[in-house]
Amino acid sequence: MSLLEEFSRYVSAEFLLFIRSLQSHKSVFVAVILWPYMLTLFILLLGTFIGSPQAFSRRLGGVDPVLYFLSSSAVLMISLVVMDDVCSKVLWDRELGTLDYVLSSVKSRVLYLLAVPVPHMTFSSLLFTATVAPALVLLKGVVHGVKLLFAIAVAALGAIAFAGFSMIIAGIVLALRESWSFLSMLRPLIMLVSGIYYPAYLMPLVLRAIAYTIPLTYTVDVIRLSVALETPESRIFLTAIAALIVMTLVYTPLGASVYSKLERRFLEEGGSGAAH
Amino acid sequence: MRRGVLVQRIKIVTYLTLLYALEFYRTAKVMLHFLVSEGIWGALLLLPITLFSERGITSSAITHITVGYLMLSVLGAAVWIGSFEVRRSIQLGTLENFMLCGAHLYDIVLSQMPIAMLFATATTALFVAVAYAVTGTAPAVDRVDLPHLLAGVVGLVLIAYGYAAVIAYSLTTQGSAGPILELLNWVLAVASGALIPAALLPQPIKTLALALPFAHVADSLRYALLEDTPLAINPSTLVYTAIALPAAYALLGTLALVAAEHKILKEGVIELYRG
Repeated sequence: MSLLEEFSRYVSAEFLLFIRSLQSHKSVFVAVILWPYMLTLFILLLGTFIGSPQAFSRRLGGVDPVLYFLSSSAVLMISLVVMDDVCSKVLWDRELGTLDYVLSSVKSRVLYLLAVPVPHMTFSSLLFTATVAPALVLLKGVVHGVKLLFAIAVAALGAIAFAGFSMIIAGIVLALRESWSFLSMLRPLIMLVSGIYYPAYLMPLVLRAIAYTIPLTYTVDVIRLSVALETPESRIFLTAIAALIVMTLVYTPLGASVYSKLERRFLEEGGSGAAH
Repeated sequence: MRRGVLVQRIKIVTYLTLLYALEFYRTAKVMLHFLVSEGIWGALLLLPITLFSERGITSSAITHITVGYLMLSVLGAAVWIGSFEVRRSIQLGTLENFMLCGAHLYDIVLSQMPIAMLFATATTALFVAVAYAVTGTAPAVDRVDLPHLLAGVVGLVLIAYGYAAVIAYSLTTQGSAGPILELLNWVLAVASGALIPAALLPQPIKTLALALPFAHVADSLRYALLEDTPLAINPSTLVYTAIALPAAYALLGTLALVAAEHKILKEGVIELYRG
């Protein structure tokens, strides 16, 4: 079986599983669509009491605060989903006591972990449209719908790069035999440093340097430039896209390689049964 | 007789606190992860608010938000540590044993409060560190107005207990804190005065905020540290309302738990949460 064939089989299996789980959790649909709007409303409301949207717009170079927070919330949601998908597989299997059996399989674990977020990624991209489209059309007009389609493509590309990054995290969770709580600590940390809500370029130099090693930072930048700004400067825009493509090309093989090494180390140390 | 009862209550609460503290220590690593997670989530969601400020990200703005975060964090910890201990003891089937040994529901909630306060304080310290790392701005302390600070801290402990008690009441009588917790969360986020001073709220929300104890505590804490705190009521009145209203709220929570206990004793074994 070719790698592509194996990959597509994993994807279709994951799709079936995902559809089945959605059927039994229909309320998730509503909650996930409403979440970015509620977060945006919450931040805007508090921000308006403390200052003004104009001050916000001035500080961030003309960014529309409504679209800024809507798109940021949507990216936050997509990123959390991708990271959870990749990393939680290790934890679920370990909790069920099946991890050692799964790792002993001759099937490529790396390929499987890359396939896992695909259904969620597709769902999230559609969701991103459902989330941002109404606000974008209402606030900026139908023409901006094109911008939205572009943003969706960027979000999908960013999710691939982020899946590679998440594989490194999954490898660390596996090798250190860490728990859900460790993952729950890393998630907001990565989101914060990536500048999801508070832009990375406003952070001090050290944090900014760390931020630009995380692929999510580039996704956030590109989406923000395309959706929240009226006329983004083309040079900055193209640089951000190029950086995102480079990140995807770097992180996917890097994530696969690091994960494989850490998985091997985990097995050499005795797998789940090893005292730590 | 009355003194003996009081000593017994203090003994029960002290033993329970020690036991919970030991259990907390045993799961220290997991708790540390959650603590860090809470602090970072707070920074992730609250720091963007400073971008709206006309004067930029000032030290006062960070203090302002830190006080708000402290309040929400204390209330959150009070529920997750205090109220949910009641649910856990129902699930484990130990609540009836607790009650037979002479412990009341409010003993359980009360004994968790020192741990909840410690957790929330540590989370807030981490929030400040993260806010400083991200914005490069440390919180300002213009002055220390001792009476208002004291009133704010005492009020904070009282509302934490009152809030945890009300949620614990909902958990024991309804089987879920869902609707009440959701409603309170939205009220707290906007109309508590934790993040927005009551004086800046529009009139209907301001009236609601001043009728609840939360805004008085938040205003008192902010007024104790910052000179330019906008106040909805006179500072000399605030120092009393910041204790009196939370005390009334704590009393209400205790009465609710006593009522829940009567219900439990009347209906026999608690079947909530058990398959």
